[in-house]
Amino acid sequence: MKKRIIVALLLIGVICSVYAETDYIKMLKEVDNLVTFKESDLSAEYTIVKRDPDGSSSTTVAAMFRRDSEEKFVVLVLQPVADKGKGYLKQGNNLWLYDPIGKGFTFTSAKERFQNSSFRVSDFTGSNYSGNYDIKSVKQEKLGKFNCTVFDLEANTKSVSFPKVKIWVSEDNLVRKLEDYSLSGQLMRTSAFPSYQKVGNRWVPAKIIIQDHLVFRKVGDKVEYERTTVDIKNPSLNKQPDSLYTKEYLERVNTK
Amino acid sequence: MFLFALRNLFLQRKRYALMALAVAVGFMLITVLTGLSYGALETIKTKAARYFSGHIIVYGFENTGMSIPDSKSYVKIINHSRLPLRTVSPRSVYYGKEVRLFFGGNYIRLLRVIGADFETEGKELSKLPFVEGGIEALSGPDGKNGIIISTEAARLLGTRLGDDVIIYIKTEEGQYNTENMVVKGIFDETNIFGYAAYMNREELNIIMDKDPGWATEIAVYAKEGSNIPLITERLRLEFAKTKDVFPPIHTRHDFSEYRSGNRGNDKEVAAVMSVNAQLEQLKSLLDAFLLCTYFVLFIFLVIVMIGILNTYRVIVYERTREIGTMRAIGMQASDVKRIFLYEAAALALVASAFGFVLGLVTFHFVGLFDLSKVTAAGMFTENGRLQYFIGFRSVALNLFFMLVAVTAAAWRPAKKASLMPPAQALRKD
Repeated sequence: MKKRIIVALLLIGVICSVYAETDYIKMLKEVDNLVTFKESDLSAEYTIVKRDPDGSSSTTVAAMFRRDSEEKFVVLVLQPVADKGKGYLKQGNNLWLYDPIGKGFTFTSAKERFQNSSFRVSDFTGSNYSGNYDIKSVKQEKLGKFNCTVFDLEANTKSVSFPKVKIWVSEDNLVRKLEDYSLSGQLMRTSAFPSYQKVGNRWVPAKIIIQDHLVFRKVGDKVEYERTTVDIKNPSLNKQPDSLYTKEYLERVNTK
Repeated sequence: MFLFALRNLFLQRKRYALMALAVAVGFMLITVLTGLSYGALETIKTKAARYFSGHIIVYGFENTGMSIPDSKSYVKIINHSRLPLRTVSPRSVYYGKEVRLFFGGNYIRLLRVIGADFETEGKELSKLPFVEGGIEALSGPDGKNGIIISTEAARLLGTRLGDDVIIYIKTEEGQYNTENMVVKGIFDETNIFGYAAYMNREELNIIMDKDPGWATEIAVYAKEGSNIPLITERLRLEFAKTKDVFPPIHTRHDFSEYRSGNRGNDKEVAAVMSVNAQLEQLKSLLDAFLLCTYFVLFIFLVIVMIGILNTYRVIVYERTREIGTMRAIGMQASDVKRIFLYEAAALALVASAFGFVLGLVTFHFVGLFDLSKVTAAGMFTENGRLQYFIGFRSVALNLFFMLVAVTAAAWRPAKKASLMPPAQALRKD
């Protein structure tokens, strides 16, 4: 009799954990879903300020156009003047960088740093945590005013930049904090998403603050990290012409 | 007759002293300039052999990516070739753009990270001009996660021996990876060869997310004095027996072309390339420099020749009675000419030998100057000092030029002396 009870309890335990895991997978899918725009185009203006530990800073302003349903995006640099006209075009798995001075395209990777900041080109797109990562552990934690579920994720594909990530997801299924780790488990960067803006029935971060853990300066006991602040303004769901997501567009926009 | 000419030269040494000095200085200049030019070329080749994986590099390709999944099989082929080789060792080299070294929040970009097997290649790499630590510190359990960097890298990062640094690379698939390393050695390089770091191959393979037996190339060091291009070709033919190989590679351009041509080919292909091919452009530059050197020396020789011509005219004039006596006792006109030419040749030989010794002394003094502060000179110097190389061929060539120049200058006065009627010569006061 005792044996049967133990077996039954174990079985219930396994079933509960499977259900819980399924719930967490659902939650991750929702996290991805809330920042992915499959039904419409998305455009926005990004202001990226990179502040070095020594205090010097550089600002980049870029216009971003996304069509998630076709896995396409175009990013056009508007500032600084020296880089004006530089653009990225993503079509499926292919990503090109257009150089307006050399007037040529080079094949590049979404994992590259954008304008040498901690912001990656891949950060312009929506997330796919549920597809690219497996859940290793889950716990509950309070992050400021948010009650968060903390996911420890490990990549199930080599196509992602960071093989290990840790995300803090608030009750509204929005990522509030993100830690990216290298293959060896070293913390590379921490991103904070203090605020979001609603666009249609989806969400776009209003501000992202990224801290590079490898580039820093110690001033007494204080550690100043390289910090990249991203402000996303004027998000719009207006449909963009098909011709925008082409190489010709990037060439044309530079001849005007 | 040559001995007679030598004796004459010795007896008339005061007359010939100035001429001998000009020839000696000329030969010293030739020796120093050619010695330093060849020394620079040899220094670059030695540095390049350490940087570019030996005198001969055997690459493996899958598509356009460098990859030798089983490096032992390549080493086996090379060892069975029975060519005059002294070291054969696999290397994993990270050629990617995103490789950085972090220390205390600062970072530098490296041109390449070289993963070497120190058991087999340690002897070659121990010749790196270390200022602190060395290769031996990477052996054994204490050498785990050790890295060797250049003085330039250490200066930019502010690191010293024993400091912990973080190496950061992007794997072939584009994933970021890092590893904590300990600085076990600092070598003195300020030029492009300085933007490389050396570490254990298997440890680098782990960071690059590769198997332990994987390598990008095999470093092959030939025995002293070997004919590198010939061994390269023989090694290529050896690989061709069992594998697909690229055609002979003479320049880096050839290498890039064959590599691009291999796009889409998933079959393993080997490529054998000599360090000479790697340095083809640099060698052309040094050849041009050598050509300029010889041009300057040619001008100098012309000036010396004019000096010798004039001096010989005076000597012939002063020795007219002597010529008359020689002819009177039965010496033929051609013999008189020959004596003067032999004297000139002997003068060139003796003065050149003296010039050669002067050149060696000059090399010693040039070697005293520490040029490590001159960044541009870093490529051509070892431990901040210019090296010289005196090859038999270059010395013989220089001597030949000097002999030809001096005897040619003495030709006309010697001929004039031989044509002098003996009675008229004897009548001269």
